[in-house]
Amino acid sequence: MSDYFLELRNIKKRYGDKTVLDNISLGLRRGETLSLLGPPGSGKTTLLKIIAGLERQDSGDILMDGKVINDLPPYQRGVAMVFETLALYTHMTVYENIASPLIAAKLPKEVMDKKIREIAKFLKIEHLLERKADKLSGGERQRVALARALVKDAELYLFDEPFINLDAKIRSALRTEFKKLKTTLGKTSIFATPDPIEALALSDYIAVLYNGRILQYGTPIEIYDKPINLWLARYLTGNMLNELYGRVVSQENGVAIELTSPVKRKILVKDYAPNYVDIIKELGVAGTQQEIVITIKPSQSTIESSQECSGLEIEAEIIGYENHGSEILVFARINDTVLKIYSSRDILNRDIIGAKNKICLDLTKAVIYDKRTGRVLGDT
Amino acid sequence: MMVDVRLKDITKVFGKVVAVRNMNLEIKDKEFFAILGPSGCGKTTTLRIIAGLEKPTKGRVYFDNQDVTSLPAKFRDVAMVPQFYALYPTTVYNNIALPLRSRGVSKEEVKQRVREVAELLGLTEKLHLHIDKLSIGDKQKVSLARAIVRKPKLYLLDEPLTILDPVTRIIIRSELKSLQRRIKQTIIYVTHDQIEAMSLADRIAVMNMGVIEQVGTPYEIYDKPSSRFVGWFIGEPGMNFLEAEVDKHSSAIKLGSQEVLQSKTLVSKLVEKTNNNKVVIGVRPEYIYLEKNPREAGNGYTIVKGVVELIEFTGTHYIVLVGIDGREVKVKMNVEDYRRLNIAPKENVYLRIPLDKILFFDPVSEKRIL
Repeated sequence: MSDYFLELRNIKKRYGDKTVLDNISLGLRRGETLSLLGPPGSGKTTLLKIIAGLERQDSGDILMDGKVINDLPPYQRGVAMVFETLALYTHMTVYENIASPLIAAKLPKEVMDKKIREIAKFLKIEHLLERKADKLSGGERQRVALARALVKDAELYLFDEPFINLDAKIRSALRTEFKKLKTTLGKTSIFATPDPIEALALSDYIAVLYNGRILQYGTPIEIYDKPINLWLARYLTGNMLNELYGRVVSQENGVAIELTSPVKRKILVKDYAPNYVDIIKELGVAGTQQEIVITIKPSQSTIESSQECSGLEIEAEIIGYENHGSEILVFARINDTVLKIYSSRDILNRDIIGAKNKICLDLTKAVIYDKRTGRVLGDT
Repeated sequence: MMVDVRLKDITKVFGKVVAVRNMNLEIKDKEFFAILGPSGCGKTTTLRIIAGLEKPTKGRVYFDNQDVTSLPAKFRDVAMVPQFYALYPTTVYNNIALPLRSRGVSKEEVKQRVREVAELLGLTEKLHLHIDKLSIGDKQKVSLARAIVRKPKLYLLDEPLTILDPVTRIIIRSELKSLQRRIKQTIIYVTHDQIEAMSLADRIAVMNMGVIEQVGTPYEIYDKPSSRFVGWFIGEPGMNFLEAEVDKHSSAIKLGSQEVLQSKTLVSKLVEKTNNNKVVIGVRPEYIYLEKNPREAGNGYTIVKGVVELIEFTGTHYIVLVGIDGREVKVKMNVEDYRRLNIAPKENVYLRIPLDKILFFDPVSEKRIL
């Protein structure tokens, strides 16, 4: 027996010729938050609907507390599904907004009232209950929206892109509120989202869905630090990944990488990324001229010219930057590649656009992929 | 050609809604000026008033001290670049040439000016291509080229880059900035994206609910927000705000039971500026350091004790939410510092806050007082 509260075993679903979910197996313990992360069309919503009982899987089992619930109708599953965005009905009062999901449940008025006041108290919005939703500040709106989502009692909450269409500012604040509530109330929930930052910040575990399959499952840190393939690595950084191309060659003095892009240079693995020597040897790729992609995140490189570079040094021309306040994301071009590097704000003390600058890439922090298959090297 | 734009006491009412309230704004000649604010704050209405597409309910618009309030849009000589380009299904050349041809400019001059603009925007090689063959980024450049080719007095851009992917957006944004330096003309740029405004503009006006909250350079706004709204809106996450008490007798500022700092001069200044004994402390999440072991406040910083409530991993950073006597503070840390610190929810932590990063706001007016 597993200790899973919710367990999915080999869930399959097809719509006509198209396989929407291909052999999905997952487990979730009570109180945990799982994110289903993936681009549109990856199967996230279908999977949520199957868990809620709104769709039926073609094969496979859904278990709750170890019991198969395949035949249980939605209303007996103890699941609350929040489809819509967290926008409020502006013409209604806060009270009416929070009450709206309960009306269908046909609860006695007193029970409903008690529930609404409880959740309002928890979220510190009791004093707003009679106010019209369009008279609220941004922060108050968030809390009301949260109250409305959570007022329904459920064992499991399913959220389908709940923050979509909201301003970035409100979005990140709401994300924190959600996480806090979850931690305090111990609610079990599953989030479907296409936004990697949301998935990383909210969840205990992430299942990355891609074409109806689970591409990778793990904690946010496991997934972010070592994405299983190049597609996912790019997706997680919003295409801000730095990529170097080359091939593995062996030399008398050890394994080397012959870089082909963005610079042509031969580097010894033991000098630049000693942590990769064994991995490359074990794979037996040395000498086979296997083509690889070395990926480095913008935060794992430096552009401050005063520092000694112990990594790979490349000279590139600064073509632009993005001002994040305390940090500057610098774009620098070398041949046809644009490198992205975080820098401190001091860099703006001089006119940087058009300037040539030394960039230092720390290859010990790199994640390396097989160019042909896109798979990460050293994956066990 | 020189243009400064001045809005004096502008109010715009749509039915019952006040979109812009009593606005005063001066935009200098050759300035790259951003109007920044959340959706519905009145920034696009302001832009349309400058363009002459909306008439203000009250107030005057001046271009170089000339009152243009009643001047129709077509006589103002401004170019507006919209969020979504509207191009004709023909070549790049024709698209850029069209605004000139419709003004009866001679064929020779059209040719010359189109080439100049194409050169400026890096479109020379693409002039003969059909518009359908271009990337979204290049299409937006053509849209920009059509505005530039007319040599207007003033450029008004309404979130022109939102449709681009993030990498292209940053590159085109940088090109736009260097372009502005070369053509040396006034650009007014409307955006809801604080990073975009910070990256592009010489000065920014932050708007909220029809009112300008602050005008300043990117770092004036970031370092010294004039109101809680500006502090919250700029930065990700925005500034932390903590209610604190001012104790005149001991010259101390307290967060609940903890003394944050003691200073006779500071306390007397605060007491002077606010009528009660409460102030709001503002401090940015990236300026707070977390430590596991207690220590005394030292030269230039204060120490506050708190409890870790929750931890968010955003990939590039960790956001640690710390509770201090019923208040909450977000601390933004880089990944390596966080992993070195090794903390978990419910643990005690000590927040080290540099004194020069602490700002004070009035709890009632929400304006910054120090």
